[in-house]
Formats: sequence, C-alpha cells, structure tokens
Amino acid sequence: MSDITQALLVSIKSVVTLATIVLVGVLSVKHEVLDRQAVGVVAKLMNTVLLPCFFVGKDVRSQTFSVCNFSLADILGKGLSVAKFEQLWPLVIGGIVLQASGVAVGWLVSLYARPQPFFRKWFILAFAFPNVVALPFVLLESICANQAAEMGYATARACADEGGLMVFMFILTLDIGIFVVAFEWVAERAPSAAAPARIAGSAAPAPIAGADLETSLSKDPARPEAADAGGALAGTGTGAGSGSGSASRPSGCSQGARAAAAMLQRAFLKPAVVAQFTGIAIGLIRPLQHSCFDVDGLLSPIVAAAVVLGKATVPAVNLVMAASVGCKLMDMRKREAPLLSLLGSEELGISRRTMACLLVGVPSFHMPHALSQRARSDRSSCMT
Amino acid sequence: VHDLTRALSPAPLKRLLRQVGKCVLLPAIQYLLVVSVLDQLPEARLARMIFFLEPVGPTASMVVVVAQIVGQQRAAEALATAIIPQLLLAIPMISLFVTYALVVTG
Repeated sequence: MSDITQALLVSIKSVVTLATIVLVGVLSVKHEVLDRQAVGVVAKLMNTVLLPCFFVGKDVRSQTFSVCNFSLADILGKGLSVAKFEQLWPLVIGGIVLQASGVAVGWLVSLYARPQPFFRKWFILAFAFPNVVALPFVLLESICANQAAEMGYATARACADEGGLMVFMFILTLDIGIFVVAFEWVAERAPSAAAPARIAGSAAPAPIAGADLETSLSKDPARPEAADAGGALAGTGTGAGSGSGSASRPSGCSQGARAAAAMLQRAFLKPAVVAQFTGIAIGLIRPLQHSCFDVDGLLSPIVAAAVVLGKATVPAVNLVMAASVGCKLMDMRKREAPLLSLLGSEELGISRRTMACLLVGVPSFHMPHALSQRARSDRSSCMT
Repeated sequence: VHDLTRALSPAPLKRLLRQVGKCVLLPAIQYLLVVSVLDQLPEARLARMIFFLEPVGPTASMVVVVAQIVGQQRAAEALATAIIPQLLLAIPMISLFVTYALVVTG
C-alpha cells in the first residue's frame, strides 16, 4: 500500500471515530441525557480527578500499547535514561517551538479574522494547541505497523514503544502550556467580567479573580456562566487570594511578593500540573517507581485506583467536546438556524470570516466566489 | 508574459497566503521550520517523523475542556463546533503532510 493511501486510510479512520463520538454526544444532549450543567460537571471532574490520575497511574498488567493505558510515569520510567534524554532533547524544544509558532501564527491570522472579543483568545489557542496525543499516536502506530524495519526497529511493537517515549518528550511542555499559561491567560478576563457588577453594587475593595467572582457573580441569576466561572476558578486553585479583599492592605514589596506568590500558586497548584510533576518524579525516581508500580509495592493499591480513574480521561475529554457540540446544535435548532450556519453565523457565535480564517485562512467564504467571477471575466476577456 | 507578471505580483501572492490557514498554513510553516533544521535533529528517522506528525492535527479537544472549566461555555461550544470542519479538512491534509514527511525523512 502506498504511503499516501495508508495515511489517507488512517486519517479517515481517526476522523470517523471522532465523528461517531461527536454523534453520541449530540444524541445525548438531544435526548436530555446531558445538558450544559452536566457538561460543566464532567469538565470539572476531569480537571480535578481524572486527568491527575491519568498523569500518575498506569496499568502494569497491560501488554498492549494504546493511548488509554499508559502514563507519563510509565513511559518515562520504562524508557527514559540520561543517554536517551541527551539523544532526544531536541524533541522537547520542538514542543516549545510548536506552541510558540502556533501562538504567533494564530495571533497574525486573528488580525485578519477579527473574531468576536469573547472568542479572540480561544481563536489563538485553537492554533497553539493541536491534537498532539491521540492522532499522532494513531498515525505513529500505523507507520510502525507498516514500516518498522525502515524506521530501524525489529518489530512494530518496539517501534511504537520508542515512538511513545518520543511523543511524550515532545509534548512534555504542552501540558504546562495549556494548564498553566493558557489557563491563566483565559482566566484573567474574570475580574473585568466582574467589574460591572462591582460598579453597579458598591465600592467593594479590589478583589482577586476567583474569590470576587464567586461572591459577586454567583448572586446574579442572569449570569450563570459568570457564576460558573467563579466556582470553577475557585475549584481549580485560582481563588488563591480568598479573603484578601477584607484584609488590611499591605504595602510595597510585601504586596508585590504576595501577588507573585498568589500568581504562582494559581498557576502551578492545579491538580493536573501537580500530577504532571508527580508523574515525572515517579518515572525518574526508581525506588518510588517500584513502590508505586510493583505488584507488592507499598503504594500500588493507591496507584491502582489512579489507573482505573485515569482510563476515563480520554473518553471524558471527547464527551465534553461532543456534548458541547450537541448543546450548540440544539440551541441552533431552537432558533431554526439553517445547517450551513455551522460554517459561521450569529447563532454560532463565530462569523463566517472568523471560521474561514480558522480553517483555511480566507477571510470570507465569498472569496472563492469572487475568484470564480474573476476567472469568468478573465475567460470573457480572452474570448474577446 | 502579462499573465506571468500578474501571477508573480504581490497581490495574487497575498491572496494565496490568505487561502491557507490553520489546517494548512500553520503546519506548512512548522514543516518549513523542521526542514530547515533537519540536519540538527536526532538522526533516528522515527524521531524526525515525530516533528512532522505533531503539527498536523486539528485543534485539541482539551482546549474545549479548558473553556468549560473556566466557565466560558459560549466559547467552548463555538470552539467545539469549529473543530468539526477542521476534522473534515484534516483528512486530505494529514494524508499529504504525512506522505511528505515520509519522503523527506526517508
């Protein structure tokens, strides 16, 4: 089978799988199994429980390699050594360059796309964070299955295992990027969202994001999303400054130091980030690794629980994505929006221009029509 | 000659650049970056393939989850819906990019 046919088949299979998951999500929303509140709960559950378990746990009995049954600790513990790191460190740099170039190109295209203010940061993040685990793994396994010898490996299994280590080296900084940098970047809008409520209310002392949101916006029934944001931020550690508003204001350096400490606390004390570092530590410290993963290890029962819960991470991510699509589709159906409005419309919340730039870079879907008109005029001028 | 001059003028070039975006422009730029430093990358062919495989995917579902976690449901739903056409466009683009990567690293 030629390379292009093989790649095409793998792409189609991956997309059909994801499309099926999306369909399940849409049907779940349609039949009222899931709603917005439930999707929010699943997202929070994933952030605080499932994802940390995914980073820490592994299935010691599993002999097969797949996205769902290995972890950072497993991969690092199994395959990483100083010699290997010296050989593969450019992969880590590659991951950082991937994010940086994604942000740069996303920002540049956003100047053309002119997304709505609520979507601007997400537009750039959509460029910065491609699917770096599931899809590359599927492609990698396919390549290894067909070309293990050409890649320099005796078996497809050896090829895929080594590839797994390489992928995790590549994405080592991506979780930090999304859960520390991106999270803080999108969450920083929270105080400005709270501002009108403060102005309308009283001259309350200047707050710190999570705490203020939780207290001021949760009282506003007209703004469930904002109240939700407050709860979510507080739940994920971003409400580190709780109570600071009523405390007497410290001055100068101590205030700056407290702000910096609060920022670091918000950024790094998220469950997923803590688990990421824990996973790395377990993977690199052999006695700890044995204690966690050996059958008679002291911590093995706890890690076994993490394994069970961690397996739900990938399904939960896909379910949140699919149900989000379902919620949007149900909304659009209620408004009797045509199917084509999925390619950009007021109902969708993304203009056609923004959607077109996100997909292919053309600032408007009318561009091909304009080009075809020009082609027609060119043809007519040739005929004359 | 006139057509050739017009084809090479900045306006069509600008138009061409605008016609390639997230699923095309970004991976292409990242591929160019990788090709330009190919000799500096690890010698293992599989490691080089990783550099080419990682940029080709559509937007990560995790970004939707983050939007849900911070309570921006409107953004989450818009983003999730925008991933669907990306997936469709990804089918031909991944095929082309992966084939190119296999040739370049071979």
